[in-house]
Amino acid sequence: MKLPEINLKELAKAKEENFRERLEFQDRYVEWLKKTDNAKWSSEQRSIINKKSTRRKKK
Amino acid sequence: MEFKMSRGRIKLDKKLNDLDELVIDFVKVLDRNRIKYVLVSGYVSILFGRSRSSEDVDIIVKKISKKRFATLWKALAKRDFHCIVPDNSESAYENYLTKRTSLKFSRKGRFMPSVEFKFPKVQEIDNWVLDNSVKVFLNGRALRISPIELQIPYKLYLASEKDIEDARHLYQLFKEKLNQKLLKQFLVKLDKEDDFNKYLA
Repeated sequence: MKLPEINLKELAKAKEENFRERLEFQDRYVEWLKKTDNAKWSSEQRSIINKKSTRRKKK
Repeated sequence: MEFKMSRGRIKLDKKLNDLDELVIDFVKVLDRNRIKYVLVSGYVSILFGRSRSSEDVDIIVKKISKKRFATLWKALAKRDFHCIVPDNSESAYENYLTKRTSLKFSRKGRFMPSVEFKFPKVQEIDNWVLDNSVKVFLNGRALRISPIELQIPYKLYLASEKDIEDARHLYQLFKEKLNQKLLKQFLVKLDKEDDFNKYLA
């Protein structure tokens, strides 16, 4: 099997770009958070956190 | 998000998740035993809406005697908490806490999420944060957290992508309300001004 050539500089650049994109997405999330009722955002947060917690219980 | 912030106090009402409930139940035992503590690191971001979970909640506890720790151990057991390793208070105190190793407490029958319990390790900063904690009234229940002005530089210091995201979350949310002078002082002390400018400013 022929393996691909891996350009580590290119890989590092892509990693940094992904991280930057996540930070920008996070800014949009905080903007949404600031103008959203506590009941609504915390319901969504609870479903994310409790879902993970339920998966752990099942294991 | 609606919250009130004034004179070292924050009032926040939200629908509680499993981590919030774990923290509330755990600190209730600490409060009843008059043990000084402060919640630090990732849970502070999660408390204020960060959209991620965590396997543990970090808590710094002011050093107490072995006798008081044994009393706390029993009180935690009564409230359905157990220490993952070790299984007795003597060893937990002598072989872990006093040797700068954290303990992990979780609800009985569970492994995660857990409360990572430690005495001050980096004396100057940990004692400062214990003495300058911010009181958060979460649905009316009092919790003590690290000042946000320290959490942001500290998260930049830890420096994983998750930590930088936590720092950015807190900064974006609180930037108009922060004590900018204090934030700057901690950025300088932790040598994180460049990272602040790179990732947060």
